[in-house]
Amino acid sequence: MSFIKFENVKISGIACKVPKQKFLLEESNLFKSSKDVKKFSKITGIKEKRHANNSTTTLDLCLDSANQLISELDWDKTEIDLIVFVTQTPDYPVPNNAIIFQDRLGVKKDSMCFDVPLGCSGYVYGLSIVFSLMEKGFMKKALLAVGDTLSKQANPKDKSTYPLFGDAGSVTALEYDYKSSDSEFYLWSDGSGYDKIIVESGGYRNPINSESIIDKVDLNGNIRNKVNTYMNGSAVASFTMTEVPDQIKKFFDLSNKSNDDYDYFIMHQANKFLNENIRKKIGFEEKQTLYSMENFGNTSSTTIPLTICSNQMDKSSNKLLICGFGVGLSIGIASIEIDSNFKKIMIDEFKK
Amino acid sequence: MKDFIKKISEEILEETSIEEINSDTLIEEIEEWDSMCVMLFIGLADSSYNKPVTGEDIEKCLTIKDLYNLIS
Repeated sequence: MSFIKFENVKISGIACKVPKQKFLLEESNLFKSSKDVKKFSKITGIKEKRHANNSTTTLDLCLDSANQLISELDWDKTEIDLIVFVTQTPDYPVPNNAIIFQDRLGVKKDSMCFDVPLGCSGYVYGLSIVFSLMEKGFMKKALLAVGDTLSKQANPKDKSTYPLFGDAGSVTALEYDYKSSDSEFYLWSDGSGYDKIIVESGGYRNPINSESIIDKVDLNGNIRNKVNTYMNGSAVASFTMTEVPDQIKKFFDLSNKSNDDYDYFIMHQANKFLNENIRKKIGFEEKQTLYSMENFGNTSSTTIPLTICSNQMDKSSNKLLICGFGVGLSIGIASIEIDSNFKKIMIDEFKK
Repeated sequence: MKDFIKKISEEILEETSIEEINSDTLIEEIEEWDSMCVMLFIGLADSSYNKPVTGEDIEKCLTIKDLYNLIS
């Protein structure tokens, strides 16, 4: 079973960057009327989101986040031993983003760098990997870059995906600290649901050919091709409403904790209806449950760091229950703590 | 059934009045019924009736009565 406890690793800060370009749902031609948009926004909780332009990639958003965070923390780049990059939208299929990121950031060559191609559960998985590699103290400082530009993968004529997905990049700074509080992780996967959220072409099962990029209409009138994201919305909804709360309850049992042990509950931002369903089942109060989807949509693995950076928290030190879930199908749940020295930076260059 | 129709009307449908639907109403004739309504129905079945319902179950339903049978 993948229930893991870690000690000696501290989350020192998180920086997030969102692209300047706003996409307002009310201006989208995917909806029949403004009433249709209002209904969609009411259910999903999404009003607007950000889109990266053609020359901005996930790597760029994460690099800007890293530079600001390193400067705010007053870190020396030569002290960074480890870079893990969680993304499904890298600059190239080969090589990994993390290695390019190391060079562009100016991190030393004797550092460990690799990518983790997970989606909505990816932040929790990325944290668990960094914690396990650092716990012994051989590596002292690490960066976890997490980002995606899913607006580029969704077809603009597909109402089941395009209005939901926004773009964002983040970097979380972690350091070895024997005084830090313990963290707990529980990781869950169900590969029988691999086709519920999928990009069918582009790997070696279905290599890209001329047919992959032809737009086709599905039974619901949504248009997409085989290099676009496909999502079976009702299957994902069933999974989210049953499996996610069940696994959080299992995490409570395994860790001998309950919702009373946490200051805040931060979930992957799937949609408001589904997230509220989980919140009510777990028993968290509304004010303890943080959201960012209204302004940024579903930003894939970045939703959890983006929700942390775009919200105010009452106390200086906070115990957080975080939960990412989605493509895979995959769930990651963790209990983490941020202390009073924690730095958070939100980089948003949008100007009216 | 009456209570079920009331719930469908209050929690799922916005543009269709409760008088317009009964147990024999065909789902395809409810103009606003879309993938969002399917998601809301899965939520309603789960939260109010404690029944796990899938999108495929709902796709097989023709009438409101068929939906009712899923949760009873």
